Parts: sequence; C-alpha cells; structure tokens
Amino acid sequence: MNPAQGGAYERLVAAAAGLKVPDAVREVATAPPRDPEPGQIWRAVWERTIQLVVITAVDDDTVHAIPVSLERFADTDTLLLPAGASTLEQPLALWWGLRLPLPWYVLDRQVSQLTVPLPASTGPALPHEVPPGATWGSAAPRPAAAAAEYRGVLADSLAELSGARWAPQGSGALPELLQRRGINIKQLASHLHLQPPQALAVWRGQAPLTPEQAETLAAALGLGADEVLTANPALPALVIHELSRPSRRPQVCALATRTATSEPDARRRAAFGIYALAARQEGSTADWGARADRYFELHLR
Amino acid sequence: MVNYILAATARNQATAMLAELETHAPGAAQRLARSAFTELQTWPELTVDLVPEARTGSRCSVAGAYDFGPPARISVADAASRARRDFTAMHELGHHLQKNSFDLMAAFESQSDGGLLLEDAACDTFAAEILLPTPLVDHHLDAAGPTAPDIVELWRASGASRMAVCVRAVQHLPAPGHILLLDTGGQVVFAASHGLPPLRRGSFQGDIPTIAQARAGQGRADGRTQVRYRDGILGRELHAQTAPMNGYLVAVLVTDSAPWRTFTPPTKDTGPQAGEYICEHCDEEYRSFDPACPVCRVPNCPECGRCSCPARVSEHLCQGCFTLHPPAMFADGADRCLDCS
Repeated sequence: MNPAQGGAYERLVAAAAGLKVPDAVREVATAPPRDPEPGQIWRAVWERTIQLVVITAVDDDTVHAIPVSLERFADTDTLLLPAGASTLEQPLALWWGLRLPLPWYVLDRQVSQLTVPLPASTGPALPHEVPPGATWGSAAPRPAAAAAEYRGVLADSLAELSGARWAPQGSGALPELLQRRGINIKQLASHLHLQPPQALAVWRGQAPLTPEQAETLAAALGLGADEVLTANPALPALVIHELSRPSRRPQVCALATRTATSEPDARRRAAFGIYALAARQEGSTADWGARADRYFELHLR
Repeated sequence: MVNYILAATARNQATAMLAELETHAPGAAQRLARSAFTELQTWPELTVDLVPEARTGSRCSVAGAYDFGPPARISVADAASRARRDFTAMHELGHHLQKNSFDLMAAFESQSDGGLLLEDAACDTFAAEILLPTPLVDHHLDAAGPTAPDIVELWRASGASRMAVCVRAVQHLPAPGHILLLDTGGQVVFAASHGLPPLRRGSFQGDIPTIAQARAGQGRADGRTQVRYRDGILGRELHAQTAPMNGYLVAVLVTDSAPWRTFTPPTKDTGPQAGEYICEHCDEEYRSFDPACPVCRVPNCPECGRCSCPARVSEHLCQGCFTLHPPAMFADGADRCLDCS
C-alpha cells in the first residue's frame, strides 16, 4: 500500500467496520436486479449522475420517482419519514416536489423497500394524508442557503436522469431509400466497404449507418448526409423495453467493458445485435427476452 | 395456410445453398450429415457452442442463434435429442451461408420483407436436405407417396429427428393430407399438413377411428377417419394408416391415392363438420362452428343464446305462467311469481 494513502485508507476501513448494513438491504442489494415496483428505493445511475430514488408508480418504460436523501436538509415539499418506514432503518427525506418520470434503464440496483404505503398523489399537489410518523418538512429550522443548494443539486440530478437517452431516433426509411435508388446489397457493401453480413443488415434496416458512412452513401446517392442519417433504422419498442430492464444492465456494462465503449454505445450495439440476431425459436412472435439472453451468451462468453 | 410460393422459393434457395456449401467445403454435406458438430468445429471462421436449454429461461425458448460477428458464432440449445441439435446447427449454418454470400442474398432483394422469411424457410429446407438427403429419402419413400412404415424406416436409416422426417414426408404426399406424430396419450406432438387446414400441436386425436384402433393394438392400423379441429369440429374423411415409432405413433392421412392401397377414390368432401350439442337450458339440439365457452367447452345455443355454464342468477320455474324468473320475482316460499300470485 502507498504510505501516503495509508492513513485515509485505514480511516475508511475503520469507518466501514463501524457500519452495519441491515440484512434486508444486503439481501435486495446483492440479489439480481428485477423489474421495478412501487415502494422500492433504487440507486439510479446515468454516466456521472448517481441518486437514490423512491418509486411511486411504474409504467411500461418509465417509473415515477422521488429523490431520497438521508434526513438532513428539507423544504416544505419534502416528506420526512421515520427510521421504521424503510428497510434502511434510517430517517429519510422524500423530496416530493422534485418528482419526475425516469426511464427504466437508469435504475441500477434496488437498495431498500418502504415498509409503509406512500400516500396516493397523481397531480402536482402534495397529498393530504401521510404515513404514520411522517411529517412535511419545513425550511425554517435548517440553514436556508445550504438546503436550497442541496435541493438544487437533487433537482439537477433528477433532470439529468430523467433526460437520459440511448435509443436511436431514425425514421427507419433507409431500406426504401436504398431500393428507390436501385442500390442492391452488393453495391451497398462496395460503397461502404462492408462485409456481406453487415451490408445485408444495413440494407434490411437492421443496423444503423454511422455519420461517416451516411456521408459516403449520401455522396454516392446525390443526397444530403442528414437525409441519409435521419433514415436510419428505429428499434422495435419491445427491443428497447427488453434492454431497458434493470436485469440487463450488468450485461450491458459487461459488454461496454469488453468493447471499450460507453454504456449508451454498448446498449445501442446490443439492441441492434439482438434485432438482427438470426434465432430459431418456437412460437410465431419474436421472444425478445430469449433473443437477448442468447445475444449476451454469445458476446459475453 | 401454407405459403406455396415461399416454400418453392425456399427450395430453390436451399439448392443454391448446397452448391455454395460444396464450393466452400467440398464433401461437407456428407460429413455434416454424420455429425454436424464435429464438422462445424473444424471450420476456422465459425465458433459453435452448445448452451443449456434452461438458460434461455423463457416460455418461448430459442433453440439456436447465429450472430455474424465478427467472429461468426452459432449457439445451439442442448436439446434432449441429438437429432434436434443437429437440425438446429444445420439451420444456423444456413444463416451463415446466406449472410456471407452476395449470390445467395440476391434472392432476398425481390422479397417485400427484405428476405427475412425466405432466409429462415431456406435454412429449414437446407437443414432437412443435409440430414435427409434426397437419395436416402427417395430410397425409402416410394414414388406413389409415403406409407407410415416407410416413414419409420426413413427415420431409422437417417438419424434425423422424427419431426424432420415428418416434414420431409409431407412433401411427398400424393394428395392433400397430414402426417401426424402422436404421443402414447393420443395428443399431436407434431403435425405437418399439405393442402388441408393444419392441426394444432397438442390437440387430442386419440379417439378418432384408426388412431384409436392403433392405440388399442400394436400401433399398426389403416382405415378411414376424420381429424378433429377446434371445439370438436371434424374435417373431411381421410384415408389413414399408422405405424409405431419407438414410443410414438406416426399417422399418414390423405384424401385419396393412399399409397398403401391399390385403389383409393377421393373421399367424399363433407367439409368441416360442426360439433353437435344439446342445450342444457332449453333442450335445443344444434350444430355450431362458434368458438366454445372456455369454461364449459360448449358454444352458445342459437335459441336461448347461452352456453352450458350455470346461470349466474339461479332461476325458478313459475307454476302459474311456466316461465323462468329470477328469485326476486318470487315471495318467500311461493311457487308462483309475483305477476301470477
């Protein structure tokens, strides 16, 4: 060990030795991630933003989430829960006024579970009834400037998480564009110097063009590069949903490590890989879950 | 229904794939037929893995997958039968050949879906051709068409799966019909149909004539029967022959030209026959093609509009007007309704 770091490291080890992680927290935090449910507390992560949130409602691809902090700062829109209200066994501050929808794919790991039901609230107004022992926060007893700054940090984090995007937004018109211009698979491969399987995937609209490829193709077709790029394929909603599930995140991160790319890039790579994967399956409709399993088995082996 | 144009295009594509295979790896077809995995593992450009079937963890499992890479990878689920694994491996090899040859891809360019369906269908045809080569099939299946014992012999000689043999045999049927693979309980494990509405996998056919006779005996029977579709609806009468297939029963059913008979005129085309029912509520006798109630398995009566499920509200017959009324129409203990009392 580096002697210069020894003191800090030893202090950290000593501090960690004094902590006791509740069994319920250890259990959910070490279990494989599952789909989110209301009342769960999750760690949400996107790029450099990390935030604890409590989930109040779950939709197909989004959750409605409230940022959670250990009770130190609060404002008048913050619900203060007693230690017994969650398996964290700590008093919590739920910043109700900062509630936002978050995409599933920012949910990284469940860390806890509320043990009291959250009050129902669908609109912007604060709920009238609160769980036993809970109170609404007050700005007065706290140092106003610090609380406001802390609230600002939470608001920024939630906005960052809420705005996280990875799925491509193309119109999916590339196959029609190529066929209208009479470009066959072999010619496409020749223009873009692609191997046959890659050319076929692009020609079928199962793989996207990079901006450089779009520029090359646009020059050959006499079109604008943007026109070609915006025709890139869009992924089926079910593929996006499957890759947005928290259980897929460890696989996506492993793929990002293996390919030395960012998580969003790895997610796009996996999504198009799953979309283009030739899979033999029973049943008449594509089972994207089973196909995703196979894709990651093939690529993380 | 069967897409005959797609099937014919897929056969042409499979022929071109076999030619491509021979160019790429001379003699590989014979080696693949002997042991698909041993042969494919010698291909330097391919990685082939057997993965546990349970790892798919899904209701609708994926038997095999091909990822073009690079490097190109094939994964095959570790199915119970070696024949099924080999068929899947051959299917995935079909994708590898088609995705790496511009000549083979040319067939996709005229397809409205970019050749997705054609590619998959051609993979099946290619796999069946490798595992059940035409000379072997022709040796066992007579030009007049397949008999049930012929199909069993072909299965024994080829080492291919029962399903693959059924698929191949149905291509040789001389007339519209079915090749059925049934389990000992009389349920359809696999059905390949030609020119007739396909039968549902899992449907019970164990008590229709000929099949029932075969199950009661040694598995060998022939005669005439009608297969049963949804809700007991019967198809047209067919000539049928069965043979035991090592724990299963294979049945060949045709409308005419039965290969096991010297002369078989076409059976009378009675068309699908609706099930017969007697209404539990109004005693009406009726026939119906309507979907059956999922609870009582009886379609609604055309007279009173009810299935056989008991009424949600118990009714009483009024002894005055002889009409069924709900309990609210009767005073306590009364046998006449409020209108009659």
